[in-house]
Amino acid sequence: MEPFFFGASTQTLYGVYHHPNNHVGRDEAILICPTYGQEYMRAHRANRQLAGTLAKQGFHVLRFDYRGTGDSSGEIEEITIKDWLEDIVTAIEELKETSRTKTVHIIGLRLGALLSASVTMNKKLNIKKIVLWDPIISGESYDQELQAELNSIDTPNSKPIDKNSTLHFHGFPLSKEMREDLSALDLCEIKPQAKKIMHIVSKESHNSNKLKAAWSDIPTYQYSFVKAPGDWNFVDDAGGIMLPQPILHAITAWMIS
Amino acid sequence: MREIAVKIGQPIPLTGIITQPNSFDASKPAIVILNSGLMHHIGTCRLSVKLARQLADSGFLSIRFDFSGLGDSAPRRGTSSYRESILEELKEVLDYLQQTKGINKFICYGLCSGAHASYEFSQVDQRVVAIAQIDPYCYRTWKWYLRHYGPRLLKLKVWLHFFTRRLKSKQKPKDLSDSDDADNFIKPNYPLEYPERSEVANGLKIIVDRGINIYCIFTGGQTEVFNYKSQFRECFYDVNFKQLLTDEYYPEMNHIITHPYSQKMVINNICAWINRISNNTQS
Repeated sequence: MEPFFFGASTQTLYGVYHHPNNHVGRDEAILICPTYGQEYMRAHRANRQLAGTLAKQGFHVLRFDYRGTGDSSGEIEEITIKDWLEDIVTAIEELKETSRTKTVHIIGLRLGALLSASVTMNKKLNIKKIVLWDPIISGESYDQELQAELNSIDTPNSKPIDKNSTLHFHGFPLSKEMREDLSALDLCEIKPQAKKIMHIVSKESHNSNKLKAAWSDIPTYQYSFVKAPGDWNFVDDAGGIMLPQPILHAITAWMIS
Repeated sequence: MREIAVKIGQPIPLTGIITQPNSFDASKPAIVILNSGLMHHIGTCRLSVKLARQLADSGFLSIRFDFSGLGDSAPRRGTSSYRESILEELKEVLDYLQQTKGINKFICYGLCSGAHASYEFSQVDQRVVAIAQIDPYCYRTWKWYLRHYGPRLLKLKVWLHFFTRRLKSKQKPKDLSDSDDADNFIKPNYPLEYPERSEVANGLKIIVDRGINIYCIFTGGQTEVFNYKSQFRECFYDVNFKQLLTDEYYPEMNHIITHPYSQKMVINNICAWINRISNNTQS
């Protein structure tokens, strides 16, 4: 693992590069696009393990934090969705440069899936494979999901949405601008520009079926349901961390296939 | 302010981020920010990152890092217990800052298990001049029982819950160990049980005897052990804290400090306390 900062000096991004196992001789790189908020905290361990496993299989792997999140620069209140989309492009360029390979794949979890699929619409990036893991299928459904979760919790002294229309989800805000920008993103309305697409879910839902139906005519699209814990906002009493092994195995197997 | 990623120790290094102020002064103590539970070094709701950056604005260097096996630090193989390994790894981090930056004084900060680690380490390393803890070890007193159970005794709902729970406890509990979930979750390796009160009291006596400043913030997220402001001093009635203890209680705040206002307040308070005690330690 190689932790480092990259990108423009005023908008540095934090990343961790996993060196490939050179004995495998694979000239391919994978960017892992994280999710946001409590989901990001809870998924950190799973992303680390996934990156390590893929590196052992010979891939160059980069994990990173979007601006305003993790160790990257900026405060979340100042960041826009456009910034995060730019950050993914910056991370792809960084990974190409570090790995000296032109073949880049993407794995996006939850919000990271929605953002990275949107970024692949830029054909110049030439993404080969993309994995959408428990994807958020639209900004609108994400907003509704977060609000429903907050409304189900009895918190008499706090309001989920403040007077500036910022949604506060367990310590992670989404500003009015971010929510508006996200509402314009909808996976069912796009077709990711990647040579192979894997849509993998740990739990089937109305949304996963909706996306499956919308993309069923894409020849390179593959849907996979792998039963595993998928409630990324769940935190148990002992502070346990989620590590949905069947999904990690399935993603690794698909990447090396 | 400048941030750099560092790898500390061999052959399996610990990953850390040093936040260095524009005007760096090696005579000032550096702040060592510890993991909370299994969360990686950014801290609960990014609190550790925000704290580090505000400390840099006040002229303090800090490091936030992951103990081995957590966050961006790979696991280290060995036979050390959890307690032994955190003490060894903290020493490595302080040695690194001492050698590379010339810093000789340190303040350890942590929330929950991070608070416990700062308490343990400050007993054994002479370079620690202060500890800041959120929700550290604390024990029930008779006043805690009075405040906890007093109002409940008058509520019918509580009595109903009591009897329902008694009935349920006679039923066989669900065994999770054989279920699929056991493979899909990582449980903390730190002790979930508190040590004996007398053991912690003895530790605090060592800390106070060494003149280490202690800052304790209690949130309202641990009402099962803490529910009034002076409880820490009262449960450690046999420790003479002299003028070294600053304790605060914010009942409206939850354990992982999710509210933006609470986050700002905690960061401002910690920075103000560090500025204050830093001036005292330098004079």
